[in-house]
Amino acid sequence: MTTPGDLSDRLRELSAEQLSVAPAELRPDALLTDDLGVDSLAAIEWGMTIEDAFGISLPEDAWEHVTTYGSVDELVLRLASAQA
Amino acid sequence: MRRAAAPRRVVVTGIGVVSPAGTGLDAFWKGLQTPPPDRRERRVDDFDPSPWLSGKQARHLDRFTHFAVAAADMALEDCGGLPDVDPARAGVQLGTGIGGVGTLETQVGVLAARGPGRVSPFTIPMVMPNAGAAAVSLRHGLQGPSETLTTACAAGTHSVAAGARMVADGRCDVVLAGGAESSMTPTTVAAFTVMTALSKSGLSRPFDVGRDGFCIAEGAAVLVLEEREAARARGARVYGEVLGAASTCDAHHITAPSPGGVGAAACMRLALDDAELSPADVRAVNAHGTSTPLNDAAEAAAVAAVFGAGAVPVSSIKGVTGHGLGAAGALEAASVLLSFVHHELPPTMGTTQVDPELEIDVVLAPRAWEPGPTISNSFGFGGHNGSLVLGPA
Repeated sequence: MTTPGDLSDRLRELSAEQLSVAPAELRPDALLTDDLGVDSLAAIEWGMTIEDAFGISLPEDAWEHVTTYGSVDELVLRLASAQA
Repeated sequence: MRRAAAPRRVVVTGIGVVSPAGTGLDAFWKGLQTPPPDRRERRVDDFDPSPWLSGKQARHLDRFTHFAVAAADMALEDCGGLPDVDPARAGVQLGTGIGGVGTLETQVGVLAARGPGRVSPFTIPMVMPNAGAAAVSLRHGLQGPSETLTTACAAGTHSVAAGARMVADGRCDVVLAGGAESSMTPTTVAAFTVMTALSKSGLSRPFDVGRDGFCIAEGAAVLVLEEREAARARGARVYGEVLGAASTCDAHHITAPSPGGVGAAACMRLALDDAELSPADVRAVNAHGTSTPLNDAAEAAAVAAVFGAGAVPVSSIKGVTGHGLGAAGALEAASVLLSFVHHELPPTMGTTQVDPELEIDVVLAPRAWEPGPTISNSFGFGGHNGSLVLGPA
């Protein structure tokens, strides 16, 4: 059975690769723009990778409501659970 | 419109090259003397963007922009680093023939296989022909004009000329000027093939009696252009001077040159006027010399008409480099400047038997010479003609 912890690990792994950062940099309080260099285009590309990996659909305004890595993790876990 | 109050002369103080004949000035010059493999497609096989770009940066830039960034960085390093000028007076003129068509072709595949929702959000900023110029400006904080001319295979020459004018006019003190191209995709190669532009033999042999088309290539070259007195004041090494340039259109046919090369001849004469030189002052021609039957016949006729039959030595480096399309004119300007340094004209490699119909002196082996004013030609689909007159320092 896939646990929320498994999902978080998988998200961390694919995000580190996508954003070209070390997994350790993906702290819950890491700021997407200032700490992780995620601009609007990079966010869209990252979102596509997340949708494909987890079989979920991110709402169009998803990136307007998240500012930290932790909030992305939370959003993905919530959608994965709701859309499973 | 505002013009410089006093005449400003334009010199070249740095050169960067990425080419199938070699990357970096020493490898490039040596490559121009070395017989290349007979290949219809000439790629920069060993190019690795990692010295210039992180993996993430490289992934979000098309290969033609990788080349542009690398050539610009090498040119700046060659001139001793970005000269200390007002960033608002530092510009970029970087031409290309087809821009990021490789990225477009990849994304067409993504669209077909996975639907519109999976097309990369980076597609447009990677594909746009001005992506190379934008990347160079962004990287070095150059806030003056940053522009891209797309006159097909004349873009490199036109861009060096346009960059030189920005310095001569007093708009800029430093301009990075040149061209970048990486557009060998399955579709473009097929398209050039069906129009019978590409060599069947895989031999690039400009002005040869057996020439059968061009060998498509990729690469980039960037020159650092500066106002002469400022360059002298900072003790810069000067490769040469941009003495004059011209741009014209045949207005004859979308792909074929005007018969007898009358358009090319008119362009060369205008460039000489701009340089305030007469044909007798010119010591060498760096030809467009693509190895296509039509171009080489028209260009040879034009050279003979302007300078006299066999009166001036003619080299085409495309025997080695192949035809780098929008990068070609910039690569050829680089080769002219290096011929000033080495006191030697590069050979027209690949050519063994000059077409007896052509009344020009084709340089077949490296030839020692006393550097002097040299004209470099580029002609593009669309009938676009560009001629650049370069002189030794």
